Amino acid sequence: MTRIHDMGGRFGDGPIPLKKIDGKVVDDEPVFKTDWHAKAFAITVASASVGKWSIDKSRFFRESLPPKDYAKFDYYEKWSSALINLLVERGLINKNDLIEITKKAKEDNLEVSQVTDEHQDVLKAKDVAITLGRGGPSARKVLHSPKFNVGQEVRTINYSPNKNTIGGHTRLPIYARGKKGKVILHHKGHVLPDASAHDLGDSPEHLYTVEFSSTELWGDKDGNQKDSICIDLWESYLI
Amino acid sequence: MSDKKNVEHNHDDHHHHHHDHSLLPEEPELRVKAIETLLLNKGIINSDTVNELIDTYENKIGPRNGAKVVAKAWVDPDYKKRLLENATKAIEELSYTGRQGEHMVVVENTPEVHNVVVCTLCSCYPWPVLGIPPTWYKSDEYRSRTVREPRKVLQEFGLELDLNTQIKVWDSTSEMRYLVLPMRPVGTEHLSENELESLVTRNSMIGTGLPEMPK
Repeated sequence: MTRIHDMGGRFGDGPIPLKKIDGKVVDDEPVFKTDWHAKAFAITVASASVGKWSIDKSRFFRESLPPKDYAKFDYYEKWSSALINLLVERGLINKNDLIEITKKAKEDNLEVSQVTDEHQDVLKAKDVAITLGRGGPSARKVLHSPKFNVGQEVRTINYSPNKNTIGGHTRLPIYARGKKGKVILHHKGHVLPDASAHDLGDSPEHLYTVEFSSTELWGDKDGNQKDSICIDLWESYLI
Repeated sequence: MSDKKNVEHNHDDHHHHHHDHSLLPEEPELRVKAIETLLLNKGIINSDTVNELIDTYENKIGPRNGAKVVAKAWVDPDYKKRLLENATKAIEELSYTGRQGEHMVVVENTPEVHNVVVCTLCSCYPWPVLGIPPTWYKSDEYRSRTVREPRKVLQEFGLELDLNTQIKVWDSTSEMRYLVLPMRPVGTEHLSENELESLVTRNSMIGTGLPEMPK
């Protein structure tokens, strides 16, 4: 799939939005710039305990926002909008809930009622540290031996790799399709995002880091002889 | 035929979910407040947990963690060796583990090679050692330009690299998370690990900056 999120190498974006004083970069941004950024972050992380979606699925929902919204929304607007879409898809909330809460919001009447039946999987405050500390490792055993070795030349396939879902989630950036590179790291087996994003299981594959020369990706004119780009790629993305 | 219909139906259904957010208020602050209220009322989230998560990333997990890893690697050659061989394990020695840092790789800057990390497809970033990414890291500008024109991007950060230095850009497309090990500034032989740690900036661990020079 080629959607607006797959933006590596595109033209037309301006300077990096940096805070500078007297021409020098100043790195003093607060962790969350506004309260609603902090809330959007926290409710998204917390909801995953009940929603039980994979990280790949949550990425897929963010990048599936209508392109006009994706381009316009700031980071946490993407997060909160994708969260709602995930919750509806999971059946944890429905459209009537959204219509009702919006009505209340517009009447300035957003009140938290007494919750009597918390979901059994709700993330409790006392479990936050251990849950974050554990994370969600994506390493999995793959029974067959790796098809490629470190040092080997490979080529990426020249089409979207998602076999099961047309236009589905994948992690082969379009700028690196059909390009020649060299395997520099082998990370053993990892969950395949193309499957996991669509609730099709882990389908683990060998994962590699492939190094591409800048000129291979951008051509002799735009590329730089010296530089390279290293991309993590699953075995089925490579030939 | 019926199968095909079914698939199409599912596709439409699925597609539709990606628009449900448009039923909510457009103004982002009010939208988030509406979602939060709804989820609290439904018992899907808990308000103490929301506060705990915010406090964790505002006060406990951030780039000072990464700075400790870097300073330790600068003073302890055995640790540096372990860090470059198996970053996840070596970082775990300092108790930094878990979410968005489950699988770590540390890449070392040398006089010949300068590393810089980006995520073109979203904004993957090593949370346990660097915390939540800054706005510029998540910007379209950084995501789109860094792979094509890293030297121009680094210039905007005030970083002019020698033309003979190779730039390696790491596009974080998987769950591997990359941390740059910057070069130890010259003239810091007399400094303690704690003093060195204070020279390690966030940007130096992403590759968009260098450590500070000792005063």
